[in-house]
Amino acid sequence: MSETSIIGRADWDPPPSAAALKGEAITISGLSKRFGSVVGVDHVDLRVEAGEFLSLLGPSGSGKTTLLMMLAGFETPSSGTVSLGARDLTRVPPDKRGIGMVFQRYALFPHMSVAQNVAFPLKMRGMSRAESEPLVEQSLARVRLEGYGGRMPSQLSGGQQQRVAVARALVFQPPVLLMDEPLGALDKKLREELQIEIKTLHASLGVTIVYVTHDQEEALTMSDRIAVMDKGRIQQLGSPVALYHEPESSFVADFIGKMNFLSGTVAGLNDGRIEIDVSGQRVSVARSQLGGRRELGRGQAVRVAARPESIALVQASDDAIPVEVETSIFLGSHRTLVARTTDGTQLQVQLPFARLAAADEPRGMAFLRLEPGALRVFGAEG
Amino acid sequence: MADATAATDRSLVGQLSRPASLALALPLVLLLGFAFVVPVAKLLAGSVFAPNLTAEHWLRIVQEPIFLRILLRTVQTAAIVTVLAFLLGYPVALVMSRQQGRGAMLIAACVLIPLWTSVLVRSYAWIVLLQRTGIINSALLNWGLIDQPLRLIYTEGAVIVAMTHVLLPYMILPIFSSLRSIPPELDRAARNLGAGPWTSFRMVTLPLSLPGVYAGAIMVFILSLGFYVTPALVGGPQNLTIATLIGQQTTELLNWPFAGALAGLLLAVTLGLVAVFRRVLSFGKAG
Repeated sequence: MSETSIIGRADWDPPPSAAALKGEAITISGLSKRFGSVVGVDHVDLRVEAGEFLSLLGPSGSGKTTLLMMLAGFETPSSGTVSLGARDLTRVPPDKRGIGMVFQRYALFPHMSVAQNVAFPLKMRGMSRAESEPLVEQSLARVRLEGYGGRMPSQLSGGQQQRVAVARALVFQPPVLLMDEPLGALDKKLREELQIEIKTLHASLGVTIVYVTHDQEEALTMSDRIAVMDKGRIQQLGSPVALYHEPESSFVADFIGKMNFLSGTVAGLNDGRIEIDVSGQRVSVARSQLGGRRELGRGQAVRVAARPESIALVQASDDAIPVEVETSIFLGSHRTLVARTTDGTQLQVQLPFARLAAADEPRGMAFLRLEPGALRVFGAEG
Repeated sequence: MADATAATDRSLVGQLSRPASLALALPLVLLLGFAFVVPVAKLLAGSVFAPNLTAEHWLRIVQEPIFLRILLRTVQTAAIVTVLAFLLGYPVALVMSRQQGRGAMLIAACVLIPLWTSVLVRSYAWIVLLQRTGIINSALLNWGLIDQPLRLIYTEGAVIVAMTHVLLPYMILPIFSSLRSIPPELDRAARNLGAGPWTSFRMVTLPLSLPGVYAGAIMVFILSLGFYVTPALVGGPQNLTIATLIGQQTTELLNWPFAGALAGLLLAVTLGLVAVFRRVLSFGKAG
């Protein structure tokens, strides 16, 4: 269409078609932000690969939003650098970065129509109306909003507004898209719908996405990699699978998915394996299951982390954990058993559906066994 | 925010029975009726019944050009004051809206304290500044910049400067409140999409603050049209406005019927201009 006419602009050289749009890598090194004496972001090093979907996940105040604001150029780093491809962005003002961004509360311009909103970044790049019109249409079609150009933002639902915001952020074909809790203001069903839509867009466009969220489920669903942040630092960086199965700290273990923590004692060390006594069961774990790779000694107290699906209900045995069943919750695909050990630790156990014959629904005393290969072991202090 | 308040107000009204709402409104209706509507109606009636029906006083306004000239000058002064108040007030409102905590409070105090000070006091303050032996003239003389004291007071310029100062808060406050209601991420979004700070202001912040600008401008303009104290004090007898003219007719010449005609004219002009403003502005909003 009109794409040929925009090629050759000094400040903007998009590839000839949207399908060929290439994401670019972001390199963050030694990046810090201090607000007076408060450290918002503490010496973060991170490389986001070209075309990657990376989530910054953490509780509020963990520094994830501040980090994103420094990528967008709205916060000036106290130290460190940000670069996009080979270009150093650290001191570049936000309007010269050419990075797309989607905000939590849509941030559509209320006095402009949907089409004017989407055309805004093209207008800023000196494109005429005739040049921008087909691109605006194409971008709206991409978020399934063709024909909505003439409406005002206030006439759209929250989900539609956020889709317009996505269309606006992508219309100028930026190599990177930043998303600041973009689905935070939407209800659960719509959120899940848009998660899939954004994921699909990402797959078809190849743009690099940095996605901020405090919702671990959202991060697990959407990301190639997740950087879990706390206290201004990246606590762990890895694929959703790695973070779920091999958390390096009890913070990450606790933050991602459901996790039970039991206290245990190191009973013996041999052949690179560790024997641990946990509330009546002796488990043998590999050294690689030790979060943080710390050295352990015999008799040392540890925290043993077990996912609800890695605990099984067993017959009475000397080598099992005796518990008092408190309640069991029907959850459709499975049943969750809430039980308490003799030392008062509450455990959640996921019982597979096949085990749900009404007759053996557990009550009163029961015995649980941890699946040793799926455990993570942390030092008692973290 | 505004929507939420409006909704609560409506629900509160909804809970009141009709007689109860009328009873609540009654004191103000009575006060306005006796203290405002009746005297104004009497004054206006007096301009055409003196004691028999006559157009004499209204014709006089048209026949003697001096009166229409005064009216024109009043409208012109009001327009200049409105534009100046906008030019001076908008930046203040903008800075104020971007401040947090202590800074915002300091600026708000600077805007509000003059508002709470009597107009009379503020107008006399301008006399102190502008008169022949006033602060400005003495300073200029001392620095040797002038040989003779400048004629500052009792000029149209003095009236404009003093009125702008007195009416400035009425411009700043509505603009401030409309700027404050603009979500800050809109400016960020514009910056992110490629707009420099000035372009973002021109294309996003300014258009979204226009309702406040309109409210402030109409308020300042209407107040300026009927402003009495400041023009009377710093304008002197040579710089009559419609309001000072009406004052002169009632207190010095005791020509109540003619004052009534002038007051009727001022009222008509004011309402007419407000109607035109509203038409133009609602037009602007739709486009």
